[in-house]
Amino acid sequence: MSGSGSGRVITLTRPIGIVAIGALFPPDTEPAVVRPGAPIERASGPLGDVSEWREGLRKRSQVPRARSGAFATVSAAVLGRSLLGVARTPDGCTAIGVAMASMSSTIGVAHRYESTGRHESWSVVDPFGFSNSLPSAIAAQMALTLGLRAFAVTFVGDLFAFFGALTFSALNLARAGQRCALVIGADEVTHVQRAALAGAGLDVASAAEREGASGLLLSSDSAAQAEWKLTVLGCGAADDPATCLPPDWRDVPVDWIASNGGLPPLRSATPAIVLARALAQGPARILVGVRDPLLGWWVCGCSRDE
Amino acid sequence: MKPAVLLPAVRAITGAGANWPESWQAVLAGRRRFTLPDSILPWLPPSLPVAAIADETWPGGPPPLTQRLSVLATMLAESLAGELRHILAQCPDARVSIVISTSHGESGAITEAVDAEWDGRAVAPDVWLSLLTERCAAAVAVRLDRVVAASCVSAACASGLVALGYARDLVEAGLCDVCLVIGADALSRVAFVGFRQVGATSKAGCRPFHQDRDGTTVAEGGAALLLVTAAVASRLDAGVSAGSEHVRVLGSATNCDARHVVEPTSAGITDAVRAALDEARVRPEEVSAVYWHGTGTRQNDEAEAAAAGDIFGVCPPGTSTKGVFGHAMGASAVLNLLAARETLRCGLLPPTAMLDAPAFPHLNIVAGQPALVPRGPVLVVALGFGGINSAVVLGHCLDTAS
Repeated sequence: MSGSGSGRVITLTRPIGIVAIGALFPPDTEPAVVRPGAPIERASGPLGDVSEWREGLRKRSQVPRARSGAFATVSAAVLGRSLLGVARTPDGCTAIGVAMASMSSTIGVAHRYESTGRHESWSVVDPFGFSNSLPSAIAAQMALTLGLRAFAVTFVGDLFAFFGALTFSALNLARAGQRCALVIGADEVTHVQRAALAGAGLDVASAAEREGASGLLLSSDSAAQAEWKLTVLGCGAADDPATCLPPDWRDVPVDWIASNGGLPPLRSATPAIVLARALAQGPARILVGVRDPLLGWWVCGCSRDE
Repeated sequence: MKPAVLLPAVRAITGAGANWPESWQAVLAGRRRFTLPDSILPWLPPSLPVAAIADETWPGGPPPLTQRLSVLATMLAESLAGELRHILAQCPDARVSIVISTSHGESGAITEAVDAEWDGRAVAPDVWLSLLTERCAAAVAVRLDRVVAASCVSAACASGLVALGYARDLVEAGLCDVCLVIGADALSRVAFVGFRQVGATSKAGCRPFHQDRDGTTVAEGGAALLLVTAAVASRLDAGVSAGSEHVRVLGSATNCDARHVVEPTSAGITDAVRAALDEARVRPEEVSAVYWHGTGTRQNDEAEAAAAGDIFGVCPPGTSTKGVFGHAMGASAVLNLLAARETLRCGLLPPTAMLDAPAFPHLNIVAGQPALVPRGPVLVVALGFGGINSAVVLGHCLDTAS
């Protein structure tokens, strides 16, 4: 553990393998899933209407009662299935956890639920609307869809939440009996998120670009043969995290996802993409982080087996 | 690494009390204060009782629905600020993390957005922003010193124990020295109608483990505790006595049934409890008392009773606090952790309110008066929608100041 500065950085005593990284953004209908070291490219150009894209994914996602839930559940489940497909977990193991990061994905469900109740009748609201309006529903529905029986938890928020989900998973894998964990950030942009962006005076024009999911499959199982390992995790209050890093990490530059300008909303699906890019470009060690003037910083460090 | 220590400084605000001592006394006495929610939640269907925080408990009166959760979490955090300052004075290098546990967040903002739309009013920008950015943990973080990470965790009604498990991992891994865990949820229209819609709300107030139980009582509330490293606990003790008995988190486990959205399974509960006991190195027969989730719904109580039979055979004394607190969702398990800590401290296990006809005699649920339980580890169980099961084992540990 290092802690001479404002924060704390730990070196995991049991490094966690990064088995696969993936993303699913419109208009792609198949997730892009790679072994760490290869970049993930997002489709470029105008997105247009994503309703057809959503409908197609929803139908083949196998998420039970998908229409009752947040669409982020669908994109995360489709991505999760592909990530799990990359590395067949040993002997049909279901001790796989799901840690999601998402902020506003369930507000569309809650809005529909309350609008129906208020405008029509409370007796006709979707009986699954309440359970699906909970942020945890995204993780729990993913677990249900993919048959995963370890933890299922949602970190509420955007960029910081992704690092929370990553840390939660890594510490669980290091301590408990779970072998694998899916860490996924997902967002969706419905008319409710658009109204909220507009109402809060934020950029609506580029909102559609923020819809989608990206994430990682982590494993504590050495049989997973992951070339890249999650090695270092840290968080701090202010100033430069370099002072908190272990000495042999201090010359590794931090690839900051966001810094010093406040955290833009609906960016849960960003960190895994940045991590994939850093791993593809990095030599043997990389650091990726997020920081905010008020909330401090998180970093994660990965190293490649020599 | 020694297990994380739960400090004596705890806080709570519930429908049964303006603070933790009042709330604990209410649970011991089986005294509850359920009311109708019409003055808090606009445009509800015909009402059923809820456990609401009394108006006079809120400084300056009840906050707007759009800020009820953030205000509650902030009140709890600020009430522990003095203790945190003391810890940081004793341990100048200590770093603080915050983990907020909430089932459904600041959902009053959605209510306001929907009602404003209906009424043709404008929604304040701040309300919209609260739907897009995590405000609760951030609001707490900016009020405290040396905070290195603030997270908001949702695992439905098991959130409190999942949050404690995460806090324990942060502390024991060395990512912080002190972790403030706050479980909080405010009354909301979506929860009130949602529980009612799936037939999970009691008409007259919940009676966990009763033969005639007819559902739970939706509640709001909050509870806060401080988890610290063994080193910080010893440092705090040093000026007080040569040795001190600490309550520690001995084991924690969470799983998911991956089976049904709202129905728990006894197998999932059994697995979570066994995993927590294994980690704690505690045999089932060594457990001195159990705080069950005990919502008072037919299915929840039945699943827990079946799991208890599998785990224990002969069950240790158990209880549910929801007959007094109602079901405060993201706060409920943290309230049970505070109660479990009291049981470890004084040996008293509160009765389950209104339990004059137990449905599951083998479950050994305490009724009528508090029971004196033997000294030993206390188990806390929590279940959440989506099949999430969580269990935590708290126990004594006598430490020397070293």
